[in-house]
Amino acid sequence: MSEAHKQYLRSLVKYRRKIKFFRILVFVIFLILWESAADFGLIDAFFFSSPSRIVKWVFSMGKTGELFTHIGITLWETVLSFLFVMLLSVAVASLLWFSKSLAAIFEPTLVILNSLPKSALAPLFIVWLGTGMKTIIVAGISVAVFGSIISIYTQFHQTDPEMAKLIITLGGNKWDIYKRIVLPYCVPTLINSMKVNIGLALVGVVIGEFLAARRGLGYLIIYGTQVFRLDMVISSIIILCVIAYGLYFFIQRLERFVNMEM
Amino acid sequence: MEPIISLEGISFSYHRPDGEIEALSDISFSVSKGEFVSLVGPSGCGKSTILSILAGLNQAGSGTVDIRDGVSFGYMFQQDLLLPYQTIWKNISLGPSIHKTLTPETKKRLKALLYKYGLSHFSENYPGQLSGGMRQRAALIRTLALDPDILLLDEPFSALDYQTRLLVADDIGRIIRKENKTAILVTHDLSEAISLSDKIIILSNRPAKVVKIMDIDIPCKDKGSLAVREHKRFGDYFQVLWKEMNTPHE
Repeated sequence: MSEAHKQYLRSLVKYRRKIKFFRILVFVIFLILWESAADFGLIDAFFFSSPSRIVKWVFSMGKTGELFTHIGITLWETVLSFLFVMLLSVAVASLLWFSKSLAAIFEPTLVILNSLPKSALAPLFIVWLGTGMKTIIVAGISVAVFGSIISIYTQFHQTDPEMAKLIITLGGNKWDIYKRIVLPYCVPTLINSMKVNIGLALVGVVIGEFLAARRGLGYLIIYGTQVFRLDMVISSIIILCVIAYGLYFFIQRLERFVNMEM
Repeated sequence: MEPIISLEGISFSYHRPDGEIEALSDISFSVSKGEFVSLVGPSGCGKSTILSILAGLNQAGSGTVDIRDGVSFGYMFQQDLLLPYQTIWKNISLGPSIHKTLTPETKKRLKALLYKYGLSHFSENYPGQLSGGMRQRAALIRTLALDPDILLLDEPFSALDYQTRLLVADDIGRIIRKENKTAILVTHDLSEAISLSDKIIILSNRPAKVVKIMDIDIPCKDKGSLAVREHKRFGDYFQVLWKEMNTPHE
């Protein structure tokens, strides 16, 4: 390795360290400003909470284990919705790929359902399915599934016709084209839609919990605003941030793993 | 010799919502076993359509396609179409794997082909790690894997740069002769056609008709297309073909 290249690598490491440092610094300054603003009465801690109040609340709820039940419920509902979304969208997109007429018939339906604000459907789900986990999972699915079907089908549809011709000339049928060309070429799109869907499933689940739950972080947020316990609301929102990041991180790891395998 | 394929009065049209495009009109020719035949003509004249009809990808509008019983086709495309996410080995065994005939004997034959054509060290590599010429050779082995009687070559060299193109054409021409295959090549490159073929079929503008069928009689064909290009008769054939293609036809 040449001296110039070593120097380049060193400067790269230095740059990355600098970015990391400033990220943490910004966060710490934000916390200090927030805490002191609350302590000196610049903002009303009753409405805006403060880092120390949040920590206190998390500890007290954590000690009884109650908090973990809520987190666990929201996580479980999100993961289930996500899995259903992926299964459903791959299955439907595949069906549409196998039948051109079916795709043509259902294209406008999908477009309409996709552009509909899905939160409008949530009250309907409560009437149909009652309050509880079923409703929440369906709400989570409804937010993500239509967009996911459209993007996966679009990718399926963009398969190189020459590749399909190759499989036919080697004696394959439509199933061979699907299995050997269409699906493998779709892997990057699948991972991208996973990234989008895990976030959307969380959105749907929280909307569902607003309306139809007795447990979960969405419930804590709604309950907290109703009884004016803003520590609870803001803590729950922060925990949601952490969950969203964690789920995204997990998919990113999966992507790296798949890229290495391919 | 009795022909292995003969086409008699083939016509073909593409149907689109905005109209009908007549691609072929009254095409007749035949190919004998072991013959290397080229179809040349202006681009877009419907040369590839003839291959599609032979391979059964398209149905002729009228006329008869007579193919000797039990004859199988292998198709080679302009792009190598190797699957980027699979190794060369997986790629060349695609045909047998679709047919579920990837037996130990087939594997042995494939390994022999890889060895014979200088790719045995690359069987675990991915297509992205190979040069354009090697990739096209791998594509040929994939086509040969099913041991087809007739190779349909759809401008298989035109995506390569000029120098590679000459070498790969020479390479693949030799392989086809060595394996004693019948081949039909579609190209718009006259010198490529002369250097590889036993017979050249000149087609007109769309809708394509057969303008002339010309036998190429150059004695050093076994030595490869580069040797043919240096033969003194090569230039004469080129002149004749060039004139033929640039004379207006009815």
